[in-house]
Amino acid sequence: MISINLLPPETILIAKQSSRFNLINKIFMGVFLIFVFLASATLIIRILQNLNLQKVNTNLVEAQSRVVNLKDKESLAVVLKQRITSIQALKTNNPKVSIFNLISALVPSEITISSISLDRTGNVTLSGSSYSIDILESLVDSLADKEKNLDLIAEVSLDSLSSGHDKLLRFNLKITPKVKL
Amino acid sequence: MKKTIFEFYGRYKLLIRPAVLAILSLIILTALIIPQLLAFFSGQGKLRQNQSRLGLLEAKSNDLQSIDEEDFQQKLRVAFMVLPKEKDIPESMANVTNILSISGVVLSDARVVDSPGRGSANSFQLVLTIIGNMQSIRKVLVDLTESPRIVRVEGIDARAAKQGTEIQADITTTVFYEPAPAVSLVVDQPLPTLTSDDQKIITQLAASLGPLVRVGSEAAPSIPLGKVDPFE
Repeated sequence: MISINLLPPETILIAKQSSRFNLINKIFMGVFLIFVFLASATLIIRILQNLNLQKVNTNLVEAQSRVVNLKDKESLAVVLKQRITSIQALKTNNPKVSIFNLISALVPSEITISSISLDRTGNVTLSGSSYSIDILESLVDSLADKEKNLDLIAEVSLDSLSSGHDKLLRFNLKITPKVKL
Repeated sequence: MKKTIFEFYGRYKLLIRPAVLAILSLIILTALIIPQLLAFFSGQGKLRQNQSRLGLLEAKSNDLQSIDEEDFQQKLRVAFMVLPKEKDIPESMANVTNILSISGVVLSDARVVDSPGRGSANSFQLVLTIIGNMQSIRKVLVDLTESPRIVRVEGIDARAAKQGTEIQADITTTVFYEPAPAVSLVVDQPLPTLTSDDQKIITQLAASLGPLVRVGSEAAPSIPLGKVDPFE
């Protein structure tokens, strides 16, 4: 079968142009409709979001008022916590007492103590007397022995040693603690 | 004029329609979609922030509701006995004399001297001169450090007493106190919780205070007073 288009060429050109513009029109209309749909969708989402935000804000105000109503309990907890923290910071071990008690316990009965002085830095000056140098030596050994001194003493030094007519040895020991207090 | 417009539209209608649609689409995009999307994202941020704040406040309010007020007040009473708000020298002297009487030493002198505090705590120095044997003095020192009120031994000066085998010791102690802090509460501030260490410390302190705590917490026992005038 043979088909022959008898329309004039100008008419055919106009018809072709018209169909192309129609297609462009449809595309633009489609894009426009998509934009309208997107605008409506974002509007709905925003409305829902605002409703959600309002609900959360209402709950927030309620929770805030609940907390404010319990402020007496809160201040009680805050003051208690602060006080316990202060107590913890102040109620630490007192090594000075440990050092003093240790030294006084290590002194043998053959030695007569004339004074034990423990100053603010923890340094101890021990003055005493004994008839035997061996006992004094054993005292120094005990004070310097890590096991016996519970690792509290760093150094023991004999500051002075003198002997009188009565053959009594008078001595001064300087004891330095391991930790500076 | 109208005719000219119609003629113009008739001639260019295939171009005008897409142009108008494109302009309208651009207006919708710039005036509606983009601002709404920007507002949505910032709104989401705010929503998330408010939700997390709400969660914290809900948790805080639940924690506050679960606090046993009486128990906390009892604990606070213990804490204020251990670290009082004021110097309370008579109470600290009573504490010391109690320790000395238990140890069997004689208090020959006691002096109170002001001293710089430590951290937020204030303090004063209590210099004690005691006479007793070495064992008793050692016990006094241990009891002082373990006493309910916070006492720190700063220095010890022990020497043989004039009489017999006794020892005279000057003990310099620091006694601490801390004025009550000004509490400023902020709603969003998290509630401080008592850790197991805190609980342990307060239980130990309460145990060391012993009957002192019960005296403060319990109502005074009713004592039968009898007749106002016994000769009536």
